[in-house]
Amino acid sequence: MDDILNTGNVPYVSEASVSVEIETEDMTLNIGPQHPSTHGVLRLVAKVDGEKISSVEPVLGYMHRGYEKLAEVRTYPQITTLVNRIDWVSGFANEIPFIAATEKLMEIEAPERAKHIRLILTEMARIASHFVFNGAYALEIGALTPIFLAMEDRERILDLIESVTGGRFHPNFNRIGGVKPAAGSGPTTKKNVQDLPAGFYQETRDAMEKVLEAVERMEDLVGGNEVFKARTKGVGIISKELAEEYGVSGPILRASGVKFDLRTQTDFLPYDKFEYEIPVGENGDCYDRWYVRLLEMRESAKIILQAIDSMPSGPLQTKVPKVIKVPKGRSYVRTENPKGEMGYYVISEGGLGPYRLKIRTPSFSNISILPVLLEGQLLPDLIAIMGSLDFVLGDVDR
Amino acid sequence: MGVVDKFGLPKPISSVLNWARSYSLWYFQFGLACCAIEVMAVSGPRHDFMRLGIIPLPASPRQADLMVVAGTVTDKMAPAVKRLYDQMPEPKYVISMGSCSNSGGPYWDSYSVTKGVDQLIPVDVYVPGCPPRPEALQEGIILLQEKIRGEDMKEKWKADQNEPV
Amino acid sequence: MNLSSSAEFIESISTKFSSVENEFDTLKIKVKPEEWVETAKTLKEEFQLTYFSWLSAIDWENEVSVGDPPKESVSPHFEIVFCLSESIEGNVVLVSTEIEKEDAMIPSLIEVFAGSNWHEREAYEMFGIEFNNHPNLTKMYLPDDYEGNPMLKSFELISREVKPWPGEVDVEGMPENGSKEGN
Repeated sequence: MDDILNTGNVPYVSEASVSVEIETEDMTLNIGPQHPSTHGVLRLVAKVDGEKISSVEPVLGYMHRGYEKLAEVRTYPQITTLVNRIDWVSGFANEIPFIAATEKLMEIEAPERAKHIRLILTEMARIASHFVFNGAYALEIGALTPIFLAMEDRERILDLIESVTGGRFHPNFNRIGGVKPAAGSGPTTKKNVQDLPAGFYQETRDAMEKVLEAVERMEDLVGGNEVFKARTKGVGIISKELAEEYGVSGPILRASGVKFDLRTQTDFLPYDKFEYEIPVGENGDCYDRWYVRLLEMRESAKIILQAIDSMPSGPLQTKVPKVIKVPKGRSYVRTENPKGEMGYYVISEGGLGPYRLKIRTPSFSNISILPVLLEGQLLPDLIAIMGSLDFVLGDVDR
Repeated sequence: MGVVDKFGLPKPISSVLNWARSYSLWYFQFGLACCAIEVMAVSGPRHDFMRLGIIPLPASPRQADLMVVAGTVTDKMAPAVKRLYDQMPEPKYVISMGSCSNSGGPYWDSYSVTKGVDQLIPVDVYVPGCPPRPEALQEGIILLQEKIRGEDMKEKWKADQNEPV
Repeated sequence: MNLSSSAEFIESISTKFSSVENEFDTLKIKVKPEEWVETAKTLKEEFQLTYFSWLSAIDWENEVSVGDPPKESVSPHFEIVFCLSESIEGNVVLVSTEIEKEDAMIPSLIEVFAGSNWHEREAYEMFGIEFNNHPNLTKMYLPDDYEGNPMLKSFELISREVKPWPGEVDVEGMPENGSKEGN
């Protein structure tokens, strides 16, 4: 006691030094499966060293519903109902490649008008999907307002989809060889097949104007925000080579500087008739991924406006047999889903249902990059990086 | 709660308490699949379920009164659903939203999907649809509120001593 | 505007590999299991197919527990398929090989395409195919204590046996028909 009281013996704090290095211990952090930022039920087991992530292991399967097995016990028309629900924020876009692959095997083609309607609805699904991303991503970064704006903007698109198909986001509107008679214009009789609902064109034009406005507003409100920029610019950079090796596709690949869009590769939907640009990013960081998606919404709105101006008339369905049997053969069709490359490999043995249906979903490959991408990043960036990949768990787990 | 358990509450008091409870449901978001997007729409500006007294986004299930199971429950997810339900304090209510959590829905024959969340936890209100429209979920909430208003507290607490199904 | 591959590409693939099919715009190369990794390397380096799309398998079996069996009798085997493409012209190619069902085993593609990691894990879980040299061949989707490989044709969907498909039961009779029975 005396020593301590004797001030002469107590060293000054500034003179004290720590000679040993601080040893930190790896901590295991479990995120999910029930976590608001994981877009559903993804689980990440992260090993963190202080604020730094040393490794991440995603655990999948909490939304595994066994699509590929169920497809073997369903008939072709029943499968459309199922595949709707793979990527649930853009249901319509999921039907397209399956229908395309089946029509190819049957060697039939949908009428021009049906193709145009399909294209319009696919682009609407893309806009709706990107609205959800825009709102949710800003929410994950820490801004609450954009989600409310985005959800309201999205409702307008869903209203349009509903007026045509009768469903908000699981339309099940495609038929093999065309589309179903639209829901919004009264009952369909044998002689009088109902088409698009009255006033659809004008309503679409108005809604697309609103979409263009909304994109502008988002650009200012979110993209102009300093906090948002600081959290996303230069964070989570994916190089072109890494993206290709892991099969990353869609807006994420384009944000890394690869100008590749399967919409230019398709003969199934008449994209070649319209003028649009493919937005490409430079750095491949979170900000670019967000910005590419925002610009895509603008391009989609432009495509829709052109498509309703050049809508051909004619029937909605080609002649197909009453019971759909697909001849023996295999076909692989891939299209540009809002999330990336979605492909269906249909192997038919001539039965009522496929012998095997391989579903290539974009989000599965997109998040397979997470362990590589997150290694060495800071923990607060985890949510920013994960959110920017814009995955849907149904699309990951199938 | 020993007193309520034994003697119950006088009717005026319990109806006032029930009325108050029914309009301040803290809602724990259990978004699993497609229906979660519809729940987002319900909490969005157009449908806005806050006007029904639903308060979204409590920090943890320990602060919640109501769980909406929105989406497909898989066998891998089932233990988590059960655990989160157990973490909620009494009295607690469950709305099962959508065909998948009601009965398995389109995945009724799948090898990995639980055929109905009621195999795991007791459900108060089932909302049918695939996915149900936002209005349907709102009606489900209103039905639940009616149920809460008609509750006898003595019964409610007694029932809780029994093991859940 | 074409859906898959340009003519020159098909030409050059056909000269390089002996067994090439082009069915419904889908180019498919058949190789032997020994050439599996070699083919992937060749396609990546010589044909610039750097984009790894997917890998999966098909169970060919005459006896199936659910679904339709193949029309013509096949010799039971696994067919493994992977898909490569490139992102300039959109050329796409499928590579397939056949392996025995007994001790199904194939070298992993992970050293050529790191992205095949999860796809191979999925195939391992769904079909029970072993991938040699795979660093982490564990279950991906199903709970740890789950037994069986669901995508095998011999795998039974128990729910279908417990209760028949609801759609097979016709709609209940109209009320007037029902009253007749009652009387």
